[in-house]
Amino acid sequence: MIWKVLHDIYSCTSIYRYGRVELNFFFNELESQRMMANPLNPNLYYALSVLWQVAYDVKLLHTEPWSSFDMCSQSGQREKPESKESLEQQTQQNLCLIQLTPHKDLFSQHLTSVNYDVFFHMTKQCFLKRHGKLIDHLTSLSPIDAMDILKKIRQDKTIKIIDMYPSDFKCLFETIECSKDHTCKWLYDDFMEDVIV
Amino acid sequence: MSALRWGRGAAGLGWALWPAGRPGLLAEEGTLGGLWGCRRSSSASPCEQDRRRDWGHAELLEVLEARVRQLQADNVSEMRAKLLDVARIPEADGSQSPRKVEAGNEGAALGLTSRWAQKLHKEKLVMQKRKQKLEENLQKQARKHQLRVEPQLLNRQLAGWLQRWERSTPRSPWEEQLAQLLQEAPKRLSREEQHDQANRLSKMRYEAQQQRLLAFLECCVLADQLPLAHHVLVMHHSKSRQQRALTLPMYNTLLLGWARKGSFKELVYVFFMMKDAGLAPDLLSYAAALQCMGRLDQDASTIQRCLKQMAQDGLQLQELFTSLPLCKEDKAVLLRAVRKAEPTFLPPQPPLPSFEVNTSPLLKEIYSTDLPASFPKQHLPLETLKDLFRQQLSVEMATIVTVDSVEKAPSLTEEVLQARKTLQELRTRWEAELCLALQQTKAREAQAAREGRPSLFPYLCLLSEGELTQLMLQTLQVLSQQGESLLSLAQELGMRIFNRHVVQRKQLNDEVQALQERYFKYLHLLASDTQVVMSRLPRQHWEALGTTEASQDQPWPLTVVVQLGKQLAEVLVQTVKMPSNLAQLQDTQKLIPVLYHVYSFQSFRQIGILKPHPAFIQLLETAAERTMTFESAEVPMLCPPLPWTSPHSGAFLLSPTKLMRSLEGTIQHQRLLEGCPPTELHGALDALTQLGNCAWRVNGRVLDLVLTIFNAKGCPRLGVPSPASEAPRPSKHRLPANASPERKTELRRELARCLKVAREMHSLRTDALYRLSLAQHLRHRVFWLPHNMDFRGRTYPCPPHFNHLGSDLARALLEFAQGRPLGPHGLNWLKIHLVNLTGLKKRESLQARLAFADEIMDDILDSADQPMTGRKWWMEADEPWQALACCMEIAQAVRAPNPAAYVSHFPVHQDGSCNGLQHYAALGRDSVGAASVNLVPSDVPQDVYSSVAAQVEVFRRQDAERGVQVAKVLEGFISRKVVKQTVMTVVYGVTRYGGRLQIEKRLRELSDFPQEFVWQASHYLVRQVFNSLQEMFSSTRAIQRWLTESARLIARSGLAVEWVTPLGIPIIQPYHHDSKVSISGGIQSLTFCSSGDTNQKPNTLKQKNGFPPNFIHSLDSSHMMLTALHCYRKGLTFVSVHDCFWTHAADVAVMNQVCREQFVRLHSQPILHDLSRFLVERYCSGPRSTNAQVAKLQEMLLSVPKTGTFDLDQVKHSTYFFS
Repeated sequence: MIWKVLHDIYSCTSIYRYGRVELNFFFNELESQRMMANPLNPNLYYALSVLWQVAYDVKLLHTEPWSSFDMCSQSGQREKPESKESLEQQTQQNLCLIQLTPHKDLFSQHLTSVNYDVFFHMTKQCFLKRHGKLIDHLTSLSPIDAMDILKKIRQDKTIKIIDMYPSDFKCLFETIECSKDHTCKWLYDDFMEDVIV
Repeated sequence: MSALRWGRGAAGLGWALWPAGRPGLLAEEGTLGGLWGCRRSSSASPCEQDRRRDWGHAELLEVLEARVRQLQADNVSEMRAKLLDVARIPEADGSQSPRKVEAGNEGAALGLTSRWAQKLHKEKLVMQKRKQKLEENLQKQARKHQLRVEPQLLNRQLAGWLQRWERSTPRSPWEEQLAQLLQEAPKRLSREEQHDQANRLSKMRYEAQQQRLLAFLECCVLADQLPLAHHVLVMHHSKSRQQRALTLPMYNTLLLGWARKGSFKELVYVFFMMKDAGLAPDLLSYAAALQCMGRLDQDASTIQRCLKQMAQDGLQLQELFTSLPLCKEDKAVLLRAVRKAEPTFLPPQPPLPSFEVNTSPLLKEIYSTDLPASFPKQHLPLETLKDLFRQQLSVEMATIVTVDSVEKAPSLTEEVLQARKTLQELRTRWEAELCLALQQTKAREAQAAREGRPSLFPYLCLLSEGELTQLMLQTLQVLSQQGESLLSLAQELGMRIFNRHVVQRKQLNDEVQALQERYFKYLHLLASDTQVVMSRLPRQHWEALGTTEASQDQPWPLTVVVQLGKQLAEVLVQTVKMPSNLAQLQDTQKLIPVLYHVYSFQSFRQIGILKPHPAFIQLLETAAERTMTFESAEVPMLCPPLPWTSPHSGAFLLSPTKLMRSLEGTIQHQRLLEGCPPTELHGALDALTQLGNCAWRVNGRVLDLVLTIFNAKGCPRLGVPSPASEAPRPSKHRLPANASPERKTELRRELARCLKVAREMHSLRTDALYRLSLAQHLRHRVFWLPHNMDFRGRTYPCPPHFNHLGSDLARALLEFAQGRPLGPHGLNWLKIHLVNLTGLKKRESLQARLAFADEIMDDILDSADQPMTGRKWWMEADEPWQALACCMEIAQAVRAPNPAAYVSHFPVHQDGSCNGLQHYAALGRDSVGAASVNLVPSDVPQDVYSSVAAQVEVFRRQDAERGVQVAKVLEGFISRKVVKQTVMTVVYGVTRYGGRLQIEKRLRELSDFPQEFVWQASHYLVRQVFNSLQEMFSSTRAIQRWLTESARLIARSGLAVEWVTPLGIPIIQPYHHDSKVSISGGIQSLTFCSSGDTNQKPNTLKQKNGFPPNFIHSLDSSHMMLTALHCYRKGLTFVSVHDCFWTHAADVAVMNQVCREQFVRLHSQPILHDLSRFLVERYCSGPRSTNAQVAKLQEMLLSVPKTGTFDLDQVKHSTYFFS
């Protein structure tokens, strides 16, 4: 579901077909913490965090304990929890109401709904080794010289993935995408994954 | 220090003061790199007391303490522990212990005390010398670690023994020790119990480690790194946890290695360790010991003691020579040793293989010598064949074949030349750099081995750096633009190294010369101008010409293969660089990598991919070097293949080939084959040999036509793939900046679709390019396709790209190299074959087909004469290229002055009609079913699909009359086409669920069928199809159910299903639950699944669903092999594509007769009862038989389904059985 929404907004399809739509969702606590994580809480910081925050303004509206909800199965009956343990686990957690407001300036000249999959891939690959240095990742993302890129985005060569803010990733992507004198900017191509959801 | 300790311990003064008896001391002494004399630490064991009591404690203490004082005085500055170690340990690398010299000088008559005194004095002298040496050594050590030679024993008693023996003055010779060691060889402690408790996973990991260590040791021996292997073994042995993992084969590997070198001392050390580990020496250990003594020319008494001990252990002397995989030279030395002790000993002669003959009733006629036989010969004279052998040999020695591509060569413009030059320069540079990088890697791996890890070092030593570099560069060359997954790349690289290593070993062992001599003698049987006295099958003849050396190279564990490949891939990624701007090659330019390691994300998995830099691909494209490289085993052979003589010897001259192909890492098939008596396999061996002996040539005229189309725009309809230029292109115009997101998304989709099509086209194109290039390469030549089989016994040609198994195009390119005059009926068979290829007249009799061919003779001749410009009749056929080739053959034949004398090279096919059901019907003796699959003579061919459709229609009408709505709706829609796929796949175990999907698909294709009824109708139809089949093939269905249920119960009991084909091939289903193996470290952790791991539980679903089709396949392969062998005896050329048999037009009638006879013979055997008996014996006997589950299984196995009343002999007169 999460990936579906992300693909939808980046490709401007489905509910985003006609423009920006604000969504309010209940997520479980861990998931919402991840959505809002940044280098300040590195344990929760994932590729998804970056993708969410680049696309949306993510805001926590309200936290409500699980116990306030009745769970119903598809047939409308109250669902019995599978085991006591999972029930306890659930009741201890909270549900978070999250507001997702798409950024006005999500798309630019360089990040578009045509090439967003490259951005997805870049982010995912970076977070495969979260504690690695950006400079090491750059070599397997783009044939463009890593030092040049770092200079352009004004980052130190010792910077690590988990030290980069979501906006830094977008900046990084756009920098590589706009570099002029290279015929080939990315090592990624469409067939490395079946991205079309 | 430890001497003191030892003394006190011996005196009973409380050894506990010294924590010496434990390996803990290792750490202390570890300052010396852990390589020196850790053995000492265990010497202070209290249990030594009893044995040494008689030495006189006080005296001993005194002496020892004096000695310590002395030593301290000598070397104040040195650490004492070091000193003591130095004092006692022979040089780490020393093959000669200095103490040996001492021992000789010492008079035995001296009393204990005086001896000690004298010894102290001597030692003092020696000490000074040693001190110098020590310093040298320490320096050396700084550069390079010394390898450990002496073991550290965990069994204290034994350790004390080793030590005492080393120190005791009238030193008993090493031989003496050996004899004693052997004598008291303990039986292995009950250690297995411990493992049982460990959980499955850790057990698997444990076994994988063992396997790896053994492979490492073996490889060390091969790579001439014996001291390193010894070192690693000692390291493992010295730690009790690791020692538990050591197995007898590991020790034996080393024993044999040292024996070949004649290093007795090390040999004895290994024996010490073996004893310490509680392992009893087996035949191989004795062989090693004897061999070593043979090499050192030792005296008879020692050998005699050894032999005596062997006899006591219940091992036969004769077996040394018969049941061990020793090479010729080893055996000779062994014999020398044995002869010394027993001068009259005669080694048993290897039994002549031709004496043993397969006894299967099905093969009786094949192997009987009374009946006349006229085996076919090759059509070439001896000298030509010899020459061909030499060519093939040189190809295989070179290990690769370079083939010119059939793609159009580019015009040599400046640009092209420049690109080629750049490429060449880059390659030269890379070669040097890769060599260097490899050296560094090797050094690293060597270091790891010194630390006791079974590293990749020996594997890297097998081939020279130059060769490894070439391999890596080849890999780089063929890498496609999209890249390749690291795992498959690594596995391929690893396998290539293994294959190359095997070939090289054969060359080093002088096997090539012997092979050539034997092959030349063997050729006398095959050549057209020579005769041999006895008419024998090729395999029999080959076996009679000498014994096969048993030096079989065990394949490496899959993890090793992958790890090795991964290591090389890593070196490649890190080393190969090119200038960022290829236009100007200057040294000052910045270098960028050529290969990138990227990831692809597929759902939850991440797949590592190696991808070349686009600029590099561009460079390759511009340079357009129109050559391609193949491994020698991927190309058809230039001489008749070696006959199959065992599960691992046959086919290619040097490249290793397996008799039974399997996924890499599944070893159960090989084990099973090796375990069964050799005669049992004769049927399969001879059939495969014969299939491989068929000589082929390229049909030049067809090839020319194909090439023309290939190099123009291709023609997908005719199976000729188009070049990349024909791929669909996305619309070029750029999107305006303000285009709607929707438009952009659309564009993205289109782009993706185009790329996908382009990629599919590219892979098809490459496949065709390989095939056509090889065909072009082999044009004007004769070649052979060696065969092997899959785990069910179905046969396949080994060369993958160019063989007769492929598509219509691939088959049309091939014809028999040997021609046969058409004879009186040959032309008719050609015509019938042509009509068969068109797919028309399937339901007509042979006469009708023949008449049809005569009717359209005009079209046939037109197609043959003007294939591309005429009426192009051939292009409409089902199999156009084969039809065209057949048209050409017919045209040539009818225009020959005497068509009957026309020499035809054209293969004519005879297909079994629904072969799986034929076997089922024969097994179950289903009369109705047998008639519908042409087991019964009839005027026109029967069509089982139509019969089933008719039966379904009967049921439908009944239901419709009863008012069932869906039956009414279906009126007029039940056709052959609707039911065909389901009936066909029923043999392969399709379920109602799958069958419904198939029928649903068909119904949806019918435009006038009311689509809202599809779901209901497909449900109804699949039920009726199954009911009809039940009606027609009642016993067949019962057999299927019986097989399925039996397999389910067998798999449930935790075993994989095994059986033996009527020809004697043992079969096991390799379906187990996936086992995950992961290799971490380096650029990426690799994880791969293998379903063939026998340590995993069998996959019940796969075992169950796989058994019926696999069993039927094992029957059809038996039928094919029987037909092949009997045809061979009659002098026919015969090849097959599973249930499609090929021979010359002149011989079709004979082949048909043999085919029918053998089918009847095969099914006259009590196949199901044999199977039942085998399964009961395999799964329901022994200790398991008490189990309730097993009882149920036994009951199921014994309830063999009843069969019908069909008279099998009718098959003999059925024209359309195979047609």
